[in-house]
Formats: sequence, structure tokens, C-alpha cells
Amino acid sequence: MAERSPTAAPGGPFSAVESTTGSEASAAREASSISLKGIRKEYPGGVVALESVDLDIRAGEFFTLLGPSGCGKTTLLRMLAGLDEPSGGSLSIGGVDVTDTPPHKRSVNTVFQSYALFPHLSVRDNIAFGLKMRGMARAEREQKVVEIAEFIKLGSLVDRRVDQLSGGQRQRIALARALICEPDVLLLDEPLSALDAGLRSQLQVELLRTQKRLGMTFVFVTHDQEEAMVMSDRIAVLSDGIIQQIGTPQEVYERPANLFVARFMGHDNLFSISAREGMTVQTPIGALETEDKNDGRVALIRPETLELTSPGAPSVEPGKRLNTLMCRVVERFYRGSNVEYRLSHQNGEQHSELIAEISNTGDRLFRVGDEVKVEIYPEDVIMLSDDEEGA
Amino acid sequence: MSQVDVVWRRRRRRETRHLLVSVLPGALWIFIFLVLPSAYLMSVAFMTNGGFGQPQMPLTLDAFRNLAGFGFLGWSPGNLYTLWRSIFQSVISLGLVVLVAYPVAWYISMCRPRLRAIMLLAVVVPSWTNQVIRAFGWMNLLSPGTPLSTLAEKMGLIAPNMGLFPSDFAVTLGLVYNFLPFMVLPLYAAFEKLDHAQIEAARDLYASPLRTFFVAVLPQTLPGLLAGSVLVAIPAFGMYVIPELLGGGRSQMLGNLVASQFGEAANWPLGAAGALLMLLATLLGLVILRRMGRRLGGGTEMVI
Repeated sequence: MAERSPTAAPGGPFSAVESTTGSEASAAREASSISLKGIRKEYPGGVVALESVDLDIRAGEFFTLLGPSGCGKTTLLRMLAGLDEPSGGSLSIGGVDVTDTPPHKRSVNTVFQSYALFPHLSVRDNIAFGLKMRGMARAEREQKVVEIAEFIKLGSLVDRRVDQLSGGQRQRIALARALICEPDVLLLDEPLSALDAGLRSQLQVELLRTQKRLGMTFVFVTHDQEEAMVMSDRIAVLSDGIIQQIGTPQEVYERPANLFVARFMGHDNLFSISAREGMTVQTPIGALETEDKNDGRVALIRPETLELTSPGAPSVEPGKRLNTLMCRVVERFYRGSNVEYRLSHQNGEQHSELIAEISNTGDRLFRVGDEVKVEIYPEDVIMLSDDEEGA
Repeated sequence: MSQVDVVWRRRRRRETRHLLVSVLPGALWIFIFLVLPSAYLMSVAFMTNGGFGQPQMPLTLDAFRNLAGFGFLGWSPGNLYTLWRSIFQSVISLGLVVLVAYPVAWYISMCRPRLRAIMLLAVVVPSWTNQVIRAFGWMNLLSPGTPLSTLAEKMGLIAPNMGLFPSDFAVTLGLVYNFLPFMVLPLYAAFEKLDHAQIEAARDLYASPLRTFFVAVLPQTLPGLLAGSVLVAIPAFGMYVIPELLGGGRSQMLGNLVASQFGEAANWPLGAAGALLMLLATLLGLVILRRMGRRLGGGTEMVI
């Protein structure tokens, strides 16, 4: 099932969207799982972009490749598209090996970062391009364009010229151009990175809804961890051509596999561990109780798990043994729904900084210079290996 | 008149003077050395040829009738052949130049930056040598008895002892060789800013390699191709040196016709008429290329 028939049944996924339930849609696309085994990419000159990647992406999943620039995420995506050839390993889509299949023979379409619309073609011809290349008759193509325009609400955009479109509009045309081919897998290479924040979050929602309605497998590349968390069913975090962690957004954020992932997910409260005795670890902010049985070199405390009270106040949970620290507020960032405090902690000679994110429940806020009591639940002290290979 | 008005007028006068001073030298230069001679040439085309080859009154269309082939011995197609040869040679050599320059420019654009500079130099440097000298070079390579000519003879491409020079072939070769850099450079500029994402998008959307070329590569290089065509076809059409030297007098082009009328044939009106025809044909060519550029470029100005 490398290639889909050019004449899909009338009333395809775009026309019959309202009547198609999620399970039906995913059943129709069971052939769209992806499996990578030992995928390697080495450029001439010895630069290794990917080091033996094993990855299984389920059918109908919104899967995100997340990592800093140069981590190999785009290379991986390009291999799925067939635009780059792996130096080793095998790649199959829907159980069929496509390692050596050229891009124009794969039922995979890409939304490019730069959109890559054809400027000399009309918007309509841009959208219908893939269908034309597959030899679909003109009348049928026109019908499909009308359907997809309806589906992603392009309105009158189809009658414009490419150079009359704004960034957001181009993005949607690029999406329409790829979706209209009804590929087994849709690849998205940082499709929102060129857009301003407002439009970006709007299109995030649209993209996510589109994916859910179609039940199509989406593989999304981004360097923005918030975007990845909002959109994805599962995330693979990459660094230096190695997958550091694969998991749901919650797993990756709350239980990062190692220091790299923790840092990349935006965590700042990281304290190196000098010694461990039972469930007590020695850190620059003092001895901390933990419930994490894993051995680690670094302790992570997520900023939203910190409990802040006035120095004299009773414990937030008197029956439980909590880690308690005295800190001073150095900076306060008021964000409306929550408040971020930068705290400084003095442990003998050791000076440390902590960040606390407290949801704004309308209570009195602490001021810069205030002394605060910080309480940390033992289960929120997470052990991390700083060895990035230890994923 | 108010004070403000006076100041304003004075400033305006100063600006006018400033403008005049800066534009006048150039304008005079163009007027004296381009407009006047052209006007004179055009008027000569409508004069009669005097007994000593001097243009004189009355004004007639004789020169144009002459150009069309009507001489005192009746009609002969000689001049039409020359015109046809000019068109044919410039079109054929344009086509060949494109065929050679396109892959060369593409290849250079894909090389490492250091290598690119060297290769571009290799393309351009020969054109710094005098055209005449290069034409003589080709003569030496193509004359009867040279290895290339002997090879062509052995392969039965030419009659024995004829040599590849002088011939129409030698003229075409000379034109292609001469104008190659004028096509390579604009094409290279187009290839250098090629948007590879478009190529990948075409491949991703099921276009075969050939269709990918026509959809994603050719349109992007079209501005360069058209600019190059203007730079090649138009000078080639009026080329004088190469047909003169490599054609051996048998492969005259319009430029040679004009030159000979002003020289040994001593018929200035006919020469002027030929020059006028050349000018008109050149303008026509420009208009056609412009139109093509506008249509293919989706309304944006692409050539000149």
C-alpha cells in the first residue's frame, strides 16, 4: 500500500467529515503506522546526524519530534518523506518497507517550513498539484479542491495568487495541498514557526482538530516544547541524533528521562546530588527527602510543585513529612493566571536559586524581599541521570 | 507676493538649476553622440545613392527596395538570404547556448563556494580576450588539414579538403562560444537563489523527476534564461566579426551587409536601411522577450 489509488471513493474524508467517527477514521487508516529500525544518517565528512534510531509511530497518532536545531529531527522527517536517504537501517510505513522508495512513490506528504508553494501556479493549481501528478481528471480535481477548501475553511483564498497570501494563509494552502492527496502520513516541518504568536496558537488548534477529524498519522517537527506538549499524543525528544525520550507530553514533562530532556522541557530547578542515603539526597539546597527509588545525579523539582507560605504559617499538610526551606523572594513575575517567583536560598556557604510557579488564586502575593517558607513533597523530588545516553 | 512665496520660488529655482547642472552633461552626451547620429543615419536611409557613393537628395525609398533585393539587374534574393541567415544563426546559436549554459550554470551553482568562483572565472576570462583573436584561434582549429577537420572528413561530415572553416558551422560555433558567458552568468545568478524546497515539494507531491524540473526548477530560472536570451540573441543578430572571419565571406549576416555598404560597396543609404532594419528587429525581439517574461512570470517584470 505504498500508493493510494488516484481515484478515491466519492465522498472522501473531507466531504463526509461530520459523519465519520473517530474509530471509523482510524480503522480506515490502520495502514499508516511507521516503524524505523536502526536508522542512521551520516553525511560525507563524517558528520553523524542520526545514530541508530528505533522508533514506532502508531496509526492515527499525532507524533512530535522535538529537539534543538541540529538534533536530527528534520533529517528524520526528511527520511520519512524520502527526501533524504538513510545511511543504514530500515523504514516501513504501514508494514511495507519503503527504505528505497523515492518520494514521489510514497503515500506521504509534507508541509514544509517555508511552505514551498509554487509561485507561478494559482492557489487552486497549487492545491490540486499532487492530484494532477497522480493523473486525476480535471473535473475530479476541481471537486476535491472545493471539498478541501470547505474542510479547512479556505473561503476565497483559492482564487488568489500565491504572492497575495499572508504567511498564515500560505501555511493553510500548504496544508491543503498536502492533505488533499489523502496520504497515509502527513509530515509537518515546523509549519508554524514563521507565524506570530496569536496566529500560531489559532493554527495549532486548527491543525490539531484537523488531525483528530481525519484520524491521519501526523508527524510534526518543532523546537518549541510548549507547542509539542499542546499538540502531541506522544513526543520524541532528540538531541545529537539520539532519541532521549519517547512518551506522552505528561510523561516527558513530569518524568524527564535525563538532564537534557528536563532542561529542554524548560525545567530550571535542578540540583546536583552529592550523596544519597536511603531516601535522602544531599543537594546544594540541603538534604531532600524523595520517593524516587531511581539512582540519579541530579534532583529535579518542578516549579509548580513548590508550596509557598509565610514563615510562621502551619505546614500545608501537617500530617506529612515535607521538605522545608526558607527562601527570600528576589524577583516576581505576575502573569495573571499564575505568578512566578525567583527565590534565593542560602545553605551555609551555598547559595542557590529556585523558581516557583504559583497559580493565582487571589490570595495575597509575596513581595520582592519577603521571606517565604518553601515546602516540597517528597514525591516531587525527581532523580535524573545527567548521562544523556542513559535514556 | 508674500515673503514665504519668494523664498519658495527661490528655492525652486535653485533646485531646477541644480537638476539642470547634474543632468545636462549626460543628456548632451547622449544627444550629440547617440541621438544626432541615429537621426542622421535614419535620414540617410531615405536618401539616394550618389554617383560617388555619397548620400544625396531626393528622398526616396530606393534603399529599402534595394534591401528587399530589387537592384538594377532585377530582383535577387541575396539580401533576404542574409536576413534569414541572421535570424537563423542567432536563433540556433541561442538554442545551443542555452543547451550548453543551462547544465553548466546548474553544475557551478552546486559546487563548493571556492570552486564556484574559479569555475565562473573560467567561463568569463576568455571573453576578456579580443573577439578577433579568439576568432583567429578557431580558424586555426577548424581549417582544412587540422585534426578536427580531418576527423570530420573521415566521418564523412564534410567534403574532402574543405575543412570545417570557413562555413556556416564555424560561424554558429563561434557565436555559441562567444556568447556562452552572457548566458551562464544570469543563469548562474538564478540558480544560486534556487528555492530547493520547491523542488522537494514537487517530489513530495508525486512529480516524477522530469515534471519536477518543469514545475520547480525551470520557472525559477526563467528570469535568468530570459535575461540571458536578450544578452545573447540580440548581439548575435547583428554580429559582424565572427561571420566576417569564420564565415569566410560566404556566411554573411546583416552586420556584414551593413558594414560592406558603408565600406567597399559604397552605398550608404542601403547600409543605413540595413541598420534601421536591424534596429527594428532588435526592438521586436525585445518586445517578444518582454511579453514572454511577463506572461511566464505571472505579471511581474522579469526582463529589463
